[in-house]
Amino acid sequence: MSVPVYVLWCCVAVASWLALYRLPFADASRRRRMALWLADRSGSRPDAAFAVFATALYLGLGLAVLFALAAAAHLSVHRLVGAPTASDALTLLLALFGTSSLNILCISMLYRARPIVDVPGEIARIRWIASILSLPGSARWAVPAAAAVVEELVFRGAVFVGLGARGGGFALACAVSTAIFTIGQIVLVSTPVQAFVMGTSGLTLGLVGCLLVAATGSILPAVVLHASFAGFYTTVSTGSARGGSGARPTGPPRGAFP
Amino acid sequence: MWSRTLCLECLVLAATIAPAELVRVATAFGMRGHGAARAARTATYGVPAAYSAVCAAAIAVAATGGFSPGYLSSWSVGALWVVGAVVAGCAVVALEFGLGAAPYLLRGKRGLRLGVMLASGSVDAAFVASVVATGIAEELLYRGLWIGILHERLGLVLPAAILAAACAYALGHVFFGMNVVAQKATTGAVFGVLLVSSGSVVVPLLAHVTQNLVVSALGARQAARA
Repeated sequence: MSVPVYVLWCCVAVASWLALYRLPFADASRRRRMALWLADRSGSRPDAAFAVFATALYLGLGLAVLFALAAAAHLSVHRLVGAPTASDALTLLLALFGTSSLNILCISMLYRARPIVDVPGEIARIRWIASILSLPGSARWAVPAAAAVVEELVFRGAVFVGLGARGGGFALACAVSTAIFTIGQIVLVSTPVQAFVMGTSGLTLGLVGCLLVAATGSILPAVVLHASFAGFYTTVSTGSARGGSGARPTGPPRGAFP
Repeated sequence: MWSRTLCLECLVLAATIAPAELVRVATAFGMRGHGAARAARTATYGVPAAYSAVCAAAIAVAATGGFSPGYLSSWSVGALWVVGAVVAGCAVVALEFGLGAAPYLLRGKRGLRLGVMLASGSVDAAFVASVVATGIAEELLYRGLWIGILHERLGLVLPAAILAAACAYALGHVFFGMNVVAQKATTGAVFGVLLVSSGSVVVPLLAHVTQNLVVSALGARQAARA
């Protein structure tokens, strides 16, 4: 399979994943009916039952896309996992610092342009994140972390490494995987601020993730990077939405002028 | 498939653009204060801690990856360079004041009073230690590592490497406002020229520490007069 055909195949697979995932969310009455039906079957609260169902659907469809793309690119588990060494832990730590600081830099710029914007509140109102507020505390970080693992396997694994295996250059593979990943994040939001935050975090995670995968020869450090990043920031945002301490700065961290 | 070392070099550059922003992570852990004094305290300890952690990780990754730049290993300079570094450190303070005043002067404003940003309103030992530690980490990162990797490893011509490193250094100051970004881009370029002229990170490091000490002294004088 040539590189352009594989790019097209990746786009179709990811578009199908997101379209099928959005189907149960699209219509409020259908969502409510499904939540009541799931609650009736499981014996739990309708909102919690629906959140678990939506998460399982997202993960299941993501894994199906992973297997389809891995088969098309003839990707082996060894190719994806590689052989990480102890020094890769140091690279992962640097990547964690870099992803967080670049992501917060983008949010700082947003605050500079629009000082009254409520970023944690906006993130907490993204539909899939709002839905996990109905889950017990321990699951609130586990859901985004699990989603991050599957996303990393698909975007940095099947798409990025897959394109490399098909003979694509680093720049092309990084651009395609990051673009599809970022667009996938943006289609799941509903306001411009949410789109900016998820878009810039998608670009940051995409770029740093691709560099990390290519530098270590394994997607495992990128999986840890994305899962910890998603778990931490979703917990912070939902915590803030409940009135807790949030990531929103009150102003520049002054006093370190030099 | 792809060059691992090249990707590792680019990762080091991408991950070290804005270490100070990591202070926001500390605020998310509940350390954020509501008063200016607590905010200043968080910055006093948080900013050098963030810079030091990122700097240490980046240098360690460069060392284990086998691409630690020569500028970082050259620590011996002549006495004349030391004097030059101190003079340059004082000169960039004047340069930054000039750049800060320029937009007002261009608008025809006269009788300007120049000041140092002091959120807590005072200069203590912790403040001085904080700005000195931050300055050292910034020089190791943006001059030693950035210019070294861009020029020695990625083959960028020196002026382009100096400018790119100065821009990255300036971007790390975005939370202070765009005026400060312009000031830092200029100062960064001066420090970059000092690095490549002397061949050692010690010279821009001394200049930066001098600059921060002069700014601290001016801040202390300003606080005493207030």
